[in-house]
Amino acid sequence: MKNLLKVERAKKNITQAELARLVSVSRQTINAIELGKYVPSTMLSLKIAHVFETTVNEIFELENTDWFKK
Amino acid sequence: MKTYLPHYFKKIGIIIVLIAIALSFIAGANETEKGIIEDGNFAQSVNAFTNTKDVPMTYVEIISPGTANTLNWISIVFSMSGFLMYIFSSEKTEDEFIQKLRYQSLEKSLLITWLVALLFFIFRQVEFEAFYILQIQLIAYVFIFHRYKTRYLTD
Repeated sequence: MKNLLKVERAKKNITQAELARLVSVSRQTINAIELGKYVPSTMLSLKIAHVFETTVNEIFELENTDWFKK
Repeated sequence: MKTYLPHYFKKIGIIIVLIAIALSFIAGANETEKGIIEDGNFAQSVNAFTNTKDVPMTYVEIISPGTANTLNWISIVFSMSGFLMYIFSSEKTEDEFIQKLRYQSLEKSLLITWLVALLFFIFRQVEFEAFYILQIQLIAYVFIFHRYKTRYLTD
């Protein structure tokens, strides 16, 4: 799954630490999401979208490989 | 997986496990001594160092068998308690990602434990008491969880 977390952070000029504080997770979790190592829960995705004042679909995007079980 | 203890219990757990390790070494002192005496090379080295010839080493009981059993029992209790304290204490920041890593670590440690138990049962090489199998799960969980944290929670 692709995400535009880093781009959205740059638009809003927010650091990973600040975003992490706003959505109540650790900075390492935000880093893991940006690097594609972790897919956030629905709740966390909605919180992140709320912080960036956009929708979840604008930040997270399914890839073709996501449709097939690993 | 819910964590019940504050973060500082991790350090307390580690200290208790270290005490358990020390107690197990003390409890095994007699067996260690027997092993050293049965190994002829060590006796030869001692004789060479002390410039004596063919003086056999004699076994001297360091601690009584009753004391050794008691220390062993205390060591196992301390070890399990220490690991449980470590496992059920919170990380500095608890969030959904840490929870996911905990569940994955638990799953893998359970699988490893039962595979090891199955192998020992099939081959019957060593008699394995049940609490040692439980110990394996605790130890496996700690290592796997630590590995996940190192791999995924990078800066």
